Amino acid sequence: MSGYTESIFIFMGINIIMALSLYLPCSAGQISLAQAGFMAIGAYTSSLLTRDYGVPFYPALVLGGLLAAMTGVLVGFPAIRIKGIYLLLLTLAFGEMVRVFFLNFTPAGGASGMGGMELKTNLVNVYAIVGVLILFFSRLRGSRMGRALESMSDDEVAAEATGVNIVRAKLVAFGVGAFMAGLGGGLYAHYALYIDSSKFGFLLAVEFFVFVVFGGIEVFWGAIVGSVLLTIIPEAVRFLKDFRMIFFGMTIVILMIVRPQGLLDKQLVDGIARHARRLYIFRGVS
Amino acid sequence: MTLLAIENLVKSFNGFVALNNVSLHVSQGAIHGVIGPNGAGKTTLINIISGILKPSKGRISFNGQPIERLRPDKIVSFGIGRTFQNIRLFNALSVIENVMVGQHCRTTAGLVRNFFRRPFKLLEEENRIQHKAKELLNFVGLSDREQEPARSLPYGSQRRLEIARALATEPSLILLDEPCAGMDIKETTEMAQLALKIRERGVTILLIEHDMNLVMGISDRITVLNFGQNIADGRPDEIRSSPAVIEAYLGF
Repeated sequence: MSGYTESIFIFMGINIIMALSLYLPCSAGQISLAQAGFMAIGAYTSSLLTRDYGVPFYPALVLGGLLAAMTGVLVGFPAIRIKGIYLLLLTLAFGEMVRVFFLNFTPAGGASGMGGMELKTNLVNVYAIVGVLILFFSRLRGSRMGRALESMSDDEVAAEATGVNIVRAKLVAFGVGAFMAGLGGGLYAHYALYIDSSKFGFLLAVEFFVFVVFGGIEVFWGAIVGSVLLTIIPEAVRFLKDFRMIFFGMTIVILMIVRPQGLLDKQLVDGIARHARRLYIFRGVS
Repeated sequence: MTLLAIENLVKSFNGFVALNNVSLHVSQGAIHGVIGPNGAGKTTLINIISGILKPSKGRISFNGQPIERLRPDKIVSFGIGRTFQNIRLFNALSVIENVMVGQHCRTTAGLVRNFFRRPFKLLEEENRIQHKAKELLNFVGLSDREQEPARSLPYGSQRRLEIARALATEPSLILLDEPCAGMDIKETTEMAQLALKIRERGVTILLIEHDMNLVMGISDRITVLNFGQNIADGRPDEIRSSPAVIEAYLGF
């Protein structure tokens, strides 16, 4: 595989991880524009640990994720009673705070950015993490916590009155989502080998948001399909040169008109699952 | 024995007094009706008991424990379930999943335990939840519609599903907020029978109703609210002949 193709697949994997990190709070009705901020925390933490403190890559990656998760829970607290555009604004502001913090954080290079990390990220570890996340989300669906999150996004008051501890569930969704984003950041830093705070701005957060909405916000497969397609499309239409971002934008506009719920929805995924099961049973019999 | 004791409850919204010094005692095993004209404060009362609103003043104790400052989910775990006047089901979930959510507070599996379960096998707890949900759907007569989305059910069935969901929290007291609103006579009769069956399960009922006849028919005791005040309290026959109640309802 050429270096170019490999880099596309690696960025695709990281995008999947980031989109899933956003999907988790979204599935509980909490839309977050802070994921780029959590990603930055994971990226800088793991990079500082591997470069300056000699910590091996994987522990550093996990520690970066944990620090992002702790921050996520802290952001989750004020976010408990806030919904809709107010929550968007709150998480947006938090993401910008993180960006400005790293812009001024001299141990990590401040405005001139941070380099000197070793290349540790490869297809294997990126897609191993993607695989674990897929397992996590497919097991979450139809489990006790999965139902609780779905019920909350449907009707918070009814969920609370049915005994769901929505405070706890929201903090967990925010924290675990931030953990995933932190992992994504660590992987990114150890592949790009140079990070600077401007990369983790609000536009990046919006990009992850677009992945999730494009693929379909109802199911986690949507976040995956959205990231895959929206990573490939800009590359596939490079021949359009300067017009390619226009093409990219048009794809999104058209999809939102014909299929506002995104490419995949619950009905479609359930249908595919039913079909696959039938095929499986059929094969088993013959 | 008193299961739920409400003492001198006051609730005001920016100066508007929705409940003024309401006291009420629900005894174990009873069907206790609360009636009153529109705007009497009935739903506010249920919202306060279930923790969705906090009282301005007053005390509520359940099984002898004060509950007026607790979060709604905590109150559910103490054993108080409820339904809503304007049905609030989880529309994106299937009928059986709606009931299964009710078991949330009686079960414990978190993200980690669920993640590390054995392949192709549900957690033991999950089987129990399903079993319980099926039993309750059978109880309210919705067994044949388990897998349908909740929003596809007709109105009367949605009401019964909401009751099944509340029963899934294993309450010792259930608050029914106008379970017969918008129902015809046949559906109302069925609902009354369901209420009696719920009591047979050992669940005490606090029944809020607009419709006098239903409440009179099945309640052991009735409290009448008007303009946020407790104007009468007693057995159905006492309420029927109470001059204060007749005045509140008929205006003379």
